Amino acid sequence: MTEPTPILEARQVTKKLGGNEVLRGVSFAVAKGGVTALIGASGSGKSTLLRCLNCLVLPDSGEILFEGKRVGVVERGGRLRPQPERELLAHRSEIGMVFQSYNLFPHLTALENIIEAPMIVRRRGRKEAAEAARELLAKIRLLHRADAYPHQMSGGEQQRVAIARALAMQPRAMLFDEVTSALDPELKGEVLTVIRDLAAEGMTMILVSHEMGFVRQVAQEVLFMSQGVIRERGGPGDLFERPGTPELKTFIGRIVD
Amino acid sequence: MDVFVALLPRFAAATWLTVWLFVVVTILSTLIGGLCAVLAALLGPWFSRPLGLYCWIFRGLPELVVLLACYLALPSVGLDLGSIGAAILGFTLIGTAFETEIFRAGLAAVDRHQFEAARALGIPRWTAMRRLILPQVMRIIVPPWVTFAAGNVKAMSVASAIAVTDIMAVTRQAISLTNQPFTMILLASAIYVAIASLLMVAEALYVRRYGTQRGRA
Repeated sequence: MTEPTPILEARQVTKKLGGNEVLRGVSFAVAKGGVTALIGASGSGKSTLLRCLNCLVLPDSGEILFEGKRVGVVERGGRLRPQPERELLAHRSEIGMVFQSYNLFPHLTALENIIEAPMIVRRRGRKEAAEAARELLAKIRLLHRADAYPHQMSGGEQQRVAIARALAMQPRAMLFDEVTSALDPELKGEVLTVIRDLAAEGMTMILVSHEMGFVRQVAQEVLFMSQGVIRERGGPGDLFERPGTPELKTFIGRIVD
Repeated sequence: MDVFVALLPRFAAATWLTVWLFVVVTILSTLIGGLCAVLAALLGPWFSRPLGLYCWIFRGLPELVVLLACYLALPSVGLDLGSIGAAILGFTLIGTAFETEIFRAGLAAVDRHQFEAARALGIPRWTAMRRLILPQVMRIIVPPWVTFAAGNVKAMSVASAIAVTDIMAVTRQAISLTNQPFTMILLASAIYVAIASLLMVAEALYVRRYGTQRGRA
């Protein structure tokens, strides 16, 4: 039986940043519609791995595959070279990313934030892009905030708009980098609900998260990272109830209280 | 009193010349300085290092030295710009150095995650700079930009040293004609303060319009 090609795959990825080996040979794959969670202490390489997947960071060695095709550093004329910026941009536009600090454009309204990339990258007309953006705003229950500027919105609202901004590019997969870490507990819920709805719609997602309850609900696979490698992997139930390494045991103990 | 009335058109012409010189120099410096800062951010050290050296030197040189060099030294190597041309070149050389630093600081003040967000969306760097980063830079740099421009209005008086008939030159002529130094200097002061005040009022209006309503998050 042949496995379907994963949407995103990392093979033996390594990366040094500022002299530190942040990633030391990481391999995993996400199937279409799959939800994978990356957990681990800060500095374990989760965010860098996420940035390798959409080529914001290019790995030193190893491969990133998008729908079976190598991206980022590719073979050309018998040598491995970074892809030209134009191709990297095209790859990134297929993968949505949401950040811990929202990173909305502060001089643009919620609606303008959402339509910017579709207009520039996908060459949509303003009217068409705005129509699609309103649908997305309705989906995240923020249609009434379309004309609000980021500084007029709560953190939870900003993060939902950031998700809508990524979705407006109709990505094939979404990356979430600790998207609720900067939010008050009562605002986390509204963001997590949006992500949960996306999972239910079959969006492929890779999320770095410290919300263990949430990870348990939405993720099919959990990867525990420590010091640049994946120390443990498995279904959330197995991993959380029967951690195999002392590191994971300690980590879970720290997160839960 | 008759002399005073007779002098007014000359003061008017000199004011017009000073304003005109100031506007040209400010526009040129801002455009070139802004472009240099953007290029330094996008092109990397091979461009930003020599640019840094340039800014370091020209921010340190007195206006008078640069203007005299442009007016007296350049003709000896075959480049005679005349007094107004030399003034425009000299002030622009210095102004560009300051404006580059103002824009560089403005770019540095924009959260670097803004660049990352634009890249993650697949927006090309130049487009991101123009549509997403520079509008934020503009709002950040208004106060230092106005401060430098208001200071530059005063610096324009140095042009009188290279035979530009600006407000200062006319004031000196008027003093020798009327023998009323106090009145004439008061008049010249009023003109300079008025020009600089216009800038500051414009800044206050701008900040009221954009500073709060569209403030940074």
